[in-house]
Amino acid sequence: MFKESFFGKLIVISLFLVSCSDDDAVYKIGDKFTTVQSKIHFVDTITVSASTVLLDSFPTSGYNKIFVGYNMDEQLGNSYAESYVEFTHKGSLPELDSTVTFDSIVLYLRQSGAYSGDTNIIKTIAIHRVLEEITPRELNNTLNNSDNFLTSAEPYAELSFEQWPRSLEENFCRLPDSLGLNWFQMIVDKDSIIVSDDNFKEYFQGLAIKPITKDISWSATFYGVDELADNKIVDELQIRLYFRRKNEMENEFFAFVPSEKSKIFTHYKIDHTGSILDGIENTTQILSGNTNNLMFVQAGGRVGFRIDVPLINNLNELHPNMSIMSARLIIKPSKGTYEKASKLPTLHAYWIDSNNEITELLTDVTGQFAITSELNADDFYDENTYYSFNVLNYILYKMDRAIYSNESLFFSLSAQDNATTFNRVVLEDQSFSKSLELQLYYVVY
Amino acid sequence: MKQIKYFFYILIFLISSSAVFAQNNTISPYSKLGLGDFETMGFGWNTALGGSGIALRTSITLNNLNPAAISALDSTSVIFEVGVHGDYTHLKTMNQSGGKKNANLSYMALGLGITSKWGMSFGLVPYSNVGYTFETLSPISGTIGNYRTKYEGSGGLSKFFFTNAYNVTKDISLGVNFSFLFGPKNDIEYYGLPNTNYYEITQQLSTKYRGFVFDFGYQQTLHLNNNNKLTFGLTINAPGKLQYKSTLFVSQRYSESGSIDTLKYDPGLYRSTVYPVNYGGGLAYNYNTVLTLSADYSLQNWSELVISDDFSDMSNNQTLAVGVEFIPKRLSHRSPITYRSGLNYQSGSFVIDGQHIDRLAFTAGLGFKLRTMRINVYGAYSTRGTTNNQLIQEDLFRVGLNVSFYETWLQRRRYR
Repeated sequence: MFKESFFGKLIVISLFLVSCSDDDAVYKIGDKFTTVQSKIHFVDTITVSASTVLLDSFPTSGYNKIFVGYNMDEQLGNSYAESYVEFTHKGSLPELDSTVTFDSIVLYLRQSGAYSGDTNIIKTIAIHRVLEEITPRELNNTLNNSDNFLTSAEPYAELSFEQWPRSLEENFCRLPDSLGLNWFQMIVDKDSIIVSDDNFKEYFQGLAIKPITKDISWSATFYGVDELADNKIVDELQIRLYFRRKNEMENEFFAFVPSEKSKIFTHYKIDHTGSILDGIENTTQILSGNTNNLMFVQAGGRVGFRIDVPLINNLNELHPNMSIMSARLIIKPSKGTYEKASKLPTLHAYWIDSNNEITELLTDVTGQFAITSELNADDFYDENTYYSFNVLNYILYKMDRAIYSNESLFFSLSAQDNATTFNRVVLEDQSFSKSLELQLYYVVY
Repeated sequence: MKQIKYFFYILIFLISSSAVFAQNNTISPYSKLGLGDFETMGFGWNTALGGSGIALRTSITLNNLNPAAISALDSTSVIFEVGVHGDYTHLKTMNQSGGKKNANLSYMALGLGITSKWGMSFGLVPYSNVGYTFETLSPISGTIGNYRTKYEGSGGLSKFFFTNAYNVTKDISLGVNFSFLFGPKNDIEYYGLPNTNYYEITQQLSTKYRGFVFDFGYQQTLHLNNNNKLTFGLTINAPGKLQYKSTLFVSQRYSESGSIDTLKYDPGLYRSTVYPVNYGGGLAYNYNTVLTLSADYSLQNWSELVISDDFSDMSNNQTLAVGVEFIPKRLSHRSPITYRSGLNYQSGSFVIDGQHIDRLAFTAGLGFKLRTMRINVYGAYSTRGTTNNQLIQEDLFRVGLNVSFYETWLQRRRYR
């Protein structure tokens, strides 16, 4: 007799048994197992030329930082930074009558913790009144590094202070009583100059904060408007008008605060005279061969460097069936030009056109992520410190269009670091061994 | 009614045969090489006997190692045979080891005794199996350092066969078998770099095979005396033709997340190569119905199979198989149990880095009758490869079961 049910069971059991695998380990075995030739190739001998470029002026407003300081740099020239702030009153004016007495007027500053120079040396800044409206020099533009405005010859006050690592130190700088009394009286009188925001800004056009200490390299950064720091809201920069009501034991104050972030900006002066960059002009490039085979990155002036791969078209001839898998640009900072490798600033990569104007950020091939430097910091031996950039997108683009395009890459500090630091980096070109390399991996299929 | 029943079998046969070959029948990295991992041990009965059977003849089960054997079927008998197996494969390299299980239908075949002289058989069996995942590190040309290649494969060739055998005399049988080979072999390679943010390259090579082979078999029995019988057998195939078409697809993907870009797509064209001539010879000794000894030697000339540049060159494989079957006498009202054992050695179709990938297998099994079904179970242990030279050693434990449904046709069933 045929047992149909048995046969059925057999089928069911066999299907049940099918593909019950357990161990998903991928076994690693020797490459002799397959006889194929190596399909992945590496080249790092491609000629890369580099030149230092000083870009046009760039925006220094909007970062909400009052950056001030002085930087002495024999190699790249001395830098000077001062900041300007426009004020408005915070909230509605208090009701003051003749029984209220004026006490004082004070500029309240809060250090952001970002600074350069020695902590234990006292630095001095001066507070000047701005005598022009703080507004961009050109229509539809933003305040930028080269902008500055007329200020009072004599400062309102000077402030000397110390800095501590990572501290959010508060500083109080007393301004002239004459200014305070004047404003106090206007509030009492409900003078239209102070009642109207616009009138006030026309009457009082702001403060300039300038460095006085110029015999050392240093910088300080103060907050502008309210900001979160260490999970706390930090008080903004304020001009505090202190007064006391009758029969009260404590002073009260009314605050004038920065009008907007775009009216807080830093003005830089860099004196390249006598430096290696003497004679550098906006948007012209100096080949690294003319600057001791070095390239430079410097804040404040938006100094950076451009790279070009003159024979990029030849890459297409490596093999008819090839495709670039990875492209990295490796650049070594010049040893001895920085204090600590791990404190080297991040560099950003931009597309730059033939007129040396930035067109856009360089992204990865997905277009989603902006390319910034990956720093390999060798603090201990300082033998293997280098910046690495993923330039795959650039290489693929140029391989397609090398003969039609004069676009290339420009590397500089981030926009914010350019506007609010004295960071600088000195890098080496291809005349140094293994200092500037384009490293390509490609597959031949 | 009977015809309907046969239709039913054929239907099941066809439906299931797609399932036979749908799964990866192996996890062996060696299945990347050549046409995949060959199924060489024959049907369940042959496997239990160490893969021997060139000189074996039986009327109760199917033997696919010699086309001439099928004429041993009784006149008007029908045997439908199906096999399943479960594998546990233990893989070992210098640094890694682990096991994987899988199970599958082994084969399906139908044998018909047309007349007392003429036997016929057809069926579908796996011819080779492909199923692997492994990684290698290869040197990057132009620098110090390695790139990683992950290999993944699937597929395998199937064989549809149609055999006819005829007893030209009482003791001499001639058989001819037509085989159609078909199936894909899919080889995927992923290339990865030792850094981050790059295009991972995937190369997919899908090769479709189709081809046909004619095999010829000869068996002759010498009756030494009443109890002792000696049979020898020969097999050889005519040079066959194997056609293949390789479709190449190379693509890239950025950081394992981006979209897939095609770098190259080549649908390929059918090309043709000669399927080599293989030989086999076997000797079997029977003592009454109690004892059977068999020994086979065969040579597969795989070095003559030339496919393409990427194809791993194969070398000739020699197989030595011996088996013993013992049927002890039992009480008359009980059906006897058959005990089997065997040994199989293959010199290997591949030489890697100077190392022959040979294989040794031990098998044991037993068979018994259950109503009209004949059930054979077997266990096999085989070991192949080495952990030397960064290769992989695999130990395979297989448990198999095959069931022969025995029936007669054109005759009314008698009451037993």
